Amino acid sequence: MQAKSINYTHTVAVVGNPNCGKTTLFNGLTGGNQRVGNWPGVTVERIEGSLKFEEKYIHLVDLPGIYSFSPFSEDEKVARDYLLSKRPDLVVNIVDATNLERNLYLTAQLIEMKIPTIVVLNMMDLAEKQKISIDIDHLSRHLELPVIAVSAVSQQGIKEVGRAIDRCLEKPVLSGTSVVYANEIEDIIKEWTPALREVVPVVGADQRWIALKILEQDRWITSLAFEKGCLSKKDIKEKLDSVESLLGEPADSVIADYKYGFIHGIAKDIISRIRNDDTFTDRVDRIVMHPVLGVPLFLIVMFLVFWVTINGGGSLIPVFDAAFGKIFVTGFEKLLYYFNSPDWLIAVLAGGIGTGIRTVAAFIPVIFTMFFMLSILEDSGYMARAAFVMDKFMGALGLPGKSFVPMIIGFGCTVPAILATRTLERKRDRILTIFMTPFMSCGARLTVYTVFAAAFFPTHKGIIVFSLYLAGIVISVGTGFLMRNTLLKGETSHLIMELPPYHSPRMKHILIHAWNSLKVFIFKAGKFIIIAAILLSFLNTFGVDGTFGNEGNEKSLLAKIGKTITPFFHPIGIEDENWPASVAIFTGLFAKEAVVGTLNALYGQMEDSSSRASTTGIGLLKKHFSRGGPQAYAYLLLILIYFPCIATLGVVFKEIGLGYTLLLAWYTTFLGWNIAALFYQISMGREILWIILPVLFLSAVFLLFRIIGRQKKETIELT
Amino acid sequence: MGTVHDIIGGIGFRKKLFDMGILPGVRIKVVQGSRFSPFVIKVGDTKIMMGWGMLSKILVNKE
Repeated sequence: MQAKSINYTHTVAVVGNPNCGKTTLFNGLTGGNQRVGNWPGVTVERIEGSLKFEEKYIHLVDLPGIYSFSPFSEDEKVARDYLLSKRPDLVVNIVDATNLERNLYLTAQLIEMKIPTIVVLNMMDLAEKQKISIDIDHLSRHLELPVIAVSAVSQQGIKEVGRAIDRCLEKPVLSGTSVVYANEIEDIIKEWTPALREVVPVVGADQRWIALKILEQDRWITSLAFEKGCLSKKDIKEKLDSVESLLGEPADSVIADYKYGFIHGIAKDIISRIRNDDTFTDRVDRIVMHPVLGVPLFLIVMFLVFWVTINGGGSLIPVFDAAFGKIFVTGFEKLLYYFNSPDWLIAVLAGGIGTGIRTVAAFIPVIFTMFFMLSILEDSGYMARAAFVMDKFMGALGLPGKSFVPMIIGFGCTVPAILATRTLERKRDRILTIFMTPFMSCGARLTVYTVFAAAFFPTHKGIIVFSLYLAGIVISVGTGFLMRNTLLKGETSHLIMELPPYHSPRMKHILIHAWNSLKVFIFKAGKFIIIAAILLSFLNTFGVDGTFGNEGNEKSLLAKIGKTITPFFHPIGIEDENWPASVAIFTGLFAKEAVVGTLNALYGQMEDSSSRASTTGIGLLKKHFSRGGPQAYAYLLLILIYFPCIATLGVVFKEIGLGYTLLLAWYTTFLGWNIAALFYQISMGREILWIILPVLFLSAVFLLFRIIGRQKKETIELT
Repeated sequence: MGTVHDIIGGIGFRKKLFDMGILPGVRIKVVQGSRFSPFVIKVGDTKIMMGWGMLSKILVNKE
């Protein structure tokens, strides 16, 4: 997303720790008008907005919440690269007044990067409640930077920040202060300064900063120094060793130590407080993270999120579905008809695109509600605790605690569940969770289970359906295990996380966040869904005789395809006469609840007019799945496991890209087919060939995964 | 309650701890946790959670 830099007069970057209230302030300054995108090449969110003053049109860039600037994490790298290469006119450093010392660690680093900065002491209201008082003038003098104190949740506070930005852009202030390090380190910096001159223009910071980075073993900066021939590996190693032997600690340790020393010196001078060791947050945490109560409490909270999302949001699905259906399908049809459009065009435009739009729209209430609920949890601070509570449990599965959330939501609908994986920080965790989530039987699949259970297992409906849910969970865990040990090898990151204090969720912030996330779903996943919908619609309506309007009857291309692929499903127990079942598998791609509808429609067609009236849906099912229970169950297993619905694939594509999406589609279908085949053959078919082959196929694929995994491991170890 | 004496680990690990304010000479307090559930510790005004594995790499002189 390119900013129209021609119109902007100034660029201002906003920087701060996570949980310092930066987002609220940013929202306040931009009036909620922001563009959300991605920093190029990474999955870090990029948020931009603008601010206007009389003659100034300011481009505001929100950098990710970070604790320091280093190349170790994507967030930090993005922030640092931006500051050094784009050199904004001003940096607004948001500092949490209730955690001043830790927050100033970042400020100290900003000062060393030599960019004009203004410090905004935020959360003053909370500081007051905690009886922390800060001498702002004194702080300003120590840092040699303008400091203002606000509470970003208030309109007034935001206005003050805006005014301060305006003033500072007129006269940008570069701090003259600096952290003084141990003599040994200062000597090295002096020694290296002339040599590092050539690296300065490449990096965008001065020699002092560069020298410090090299001593901190920053790989990127160090390799730049090598490239420019400024220093040799030997030089650097020599100095690092000498620091360690003289000071007893590695250089990075010493540098951090002196920074904190600098900060502590300031803090002692300006903060006076009555330390409260048992805050409200602490009290709540004792319950929330209680070794025994923690998990049940979490499950209750999760159930609530699930219930509100699926029932609350879900209740609006028919509304959206009908409304968008009226406009984009029926309305569109009428419009095209009015213009005497050819049948095929109507089918493609109204049937295809219209249906696609309607499918996407139908999900909007559920997805928005989910993002809304999750935002509340995240904003209030509970999410961090939830990750903690579920961590040991999910650790056994090789996943972080946060992975539990998508899986719970997956029991309602897979689409929002996949979107919920965005809260996981690492790509590998996201991919792994995404592969495990589709096996949680969603609401759509439940509709299929219930109908079949009623038909074939009337006395044991509950147990049968439960067994299917259980099968899904077992397969999910199995998949996780498989992926974790093969393709997605990698350790779970060391879990260290700040637990922010609780506070009541900020409605405006939550709504903006939920809305932005929703927008991304609609436009990115939506495109994919619509294209697939067009294709399926076309196949469904276009007949082999070249006519249109063949939905639900034997002549459509889709039905033809169904009949042709039925032999492929023989091992699962679908006989040639039961070809509508194959077609239903296809239409199940749209939405798995379509399976029942398709079966009904097609079976109905097959009856001659006399019996059509008298046979029930259940009767028809029993007739076509003539061999009874196990045959039906095998079919259900297939429906459970195979190819996720296109809406799901659409969001998977958006989240982890084409490669993995194809892998998922293939994997689920492959697994589904083999497992269903095994079940059917073992329980009923008894054709040895089709017992051996699935076992062979499955083993072959698992072995293949292992081999790829091993190769990947070697590559990782080489780098 | 104790004072951090030393940190065992590579540069990435150390950096994570420094970012949180955990470095030699700093006082930390263990609020809760066990071998089987993550630990919650307090450093200054910061409340942090970490696993047993990580915590054991932080050498503390108990008060």
